[in-house]
Amino acid sequence: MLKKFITQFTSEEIVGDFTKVNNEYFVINESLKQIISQIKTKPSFAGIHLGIEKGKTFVPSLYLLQKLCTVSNKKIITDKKGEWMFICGKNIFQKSIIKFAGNNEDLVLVQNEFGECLGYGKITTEKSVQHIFDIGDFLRRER
Amino acid sequence: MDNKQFFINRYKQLGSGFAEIQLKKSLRVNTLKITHEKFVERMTSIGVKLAKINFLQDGYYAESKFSLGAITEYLLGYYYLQEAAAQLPAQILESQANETVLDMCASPGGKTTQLAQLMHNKGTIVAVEQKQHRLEALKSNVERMGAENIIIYRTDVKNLQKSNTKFDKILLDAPCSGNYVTDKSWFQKRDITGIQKSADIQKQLLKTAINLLKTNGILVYSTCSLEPEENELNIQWLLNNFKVELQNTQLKVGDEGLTNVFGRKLSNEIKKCKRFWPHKTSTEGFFIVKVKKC
Repeated sequence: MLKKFITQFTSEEIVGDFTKVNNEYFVINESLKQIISQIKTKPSFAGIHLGIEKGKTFVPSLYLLQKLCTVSNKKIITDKKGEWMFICGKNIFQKSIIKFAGNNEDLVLVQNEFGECLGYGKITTEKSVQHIFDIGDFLRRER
Repeated sequence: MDNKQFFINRYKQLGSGFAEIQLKKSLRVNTLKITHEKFVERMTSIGVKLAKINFLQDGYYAESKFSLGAITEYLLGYYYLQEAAAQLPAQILESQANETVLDMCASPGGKTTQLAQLMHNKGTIVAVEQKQHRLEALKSNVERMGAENIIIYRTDVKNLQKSNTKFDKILLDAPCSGNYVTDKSWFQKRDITGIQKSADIQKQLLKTAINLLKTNGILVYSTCSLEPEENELNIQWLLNNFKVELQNTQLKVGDEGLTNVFGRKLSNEIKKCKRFWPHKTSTEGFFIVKVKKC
């Protein structure tokens, strides 16, 4: 599911070797792998988190989204108002989109004016972006 | 005598006054993601007033008209909302890039992610949390803060003794009875029996820490409690039962540890501990000690 998610944004190999632990994906370096082999208990989390499978959906990590933003052309830039709406889980209207790239139904990464990745969505017929996932998820998880 | 007066009398017997304080909001800049300069510029531009905390490497007091826990900069992991005294244990542990470090009671991850930052995401941090609901907060914060050298285990930390792994450094920020600054109902909730139970649990954790530490390894033990049963008396117990030496924390903030606790004389070494009376340090109540295993 991880690879399928990545290919929606880029054909570049951005992740390399990864490990699946239960339903989560990680990049684990050699020094961490050595400790894991000594402790002999399955960890809940290790190294760089790439994302998690939730049912049939893949939810990317912040690291993966930021990595995708550096290589993918499938992204839009939103203004401050659009940024706030999006991280509150709302769609971004056309008037809040400063730079637009993509066609109807395309998945796009959403960046703010600083070039920071806020999440991703889908372009709609009204040239707005339907919200799918945003970094505000960190707060919603805590509820 | 009511409960509050009982504890205030204890603090007086320990040589301290008492005053309610209003804790200033503080945070730690995450140098894994942003420099101090860029952080100050960015936060100032959105109307946040920052003042560097002089005894902390990466700590600032912060004032704003809006919540600092819900903005883009927070969600991107540019900072962690962390009380000032709570930033000291990881700082004085001085963990190095080539070391293996254990955070025994890691959740929700403030000190764990601080360790990762201080180690520049090198070396290995093993973070332990026993409870599932607290584990999710820990994983979320590790991800948000961009820490890449952490392994998280959901287990009782004493289970780590079953493997042969020993650690260069250990952080034990122990579960404790808390303090009246961060818990407004603290005086109503607490009693000596509960504090003693807490101290007994801490002793077991200290014993596990010493077992998991390499020879010459360093342990930093901390609590956010002002009660000597959880602090100086536990450290005296440690000195009496294990081959350890207390180290100088080099901190210019906080009082020396108490060597006379309700008439009981303790080792002079206990002065190397640091105790934070809220009305003196403007922090939450706190206690910290650096221990070397011999």
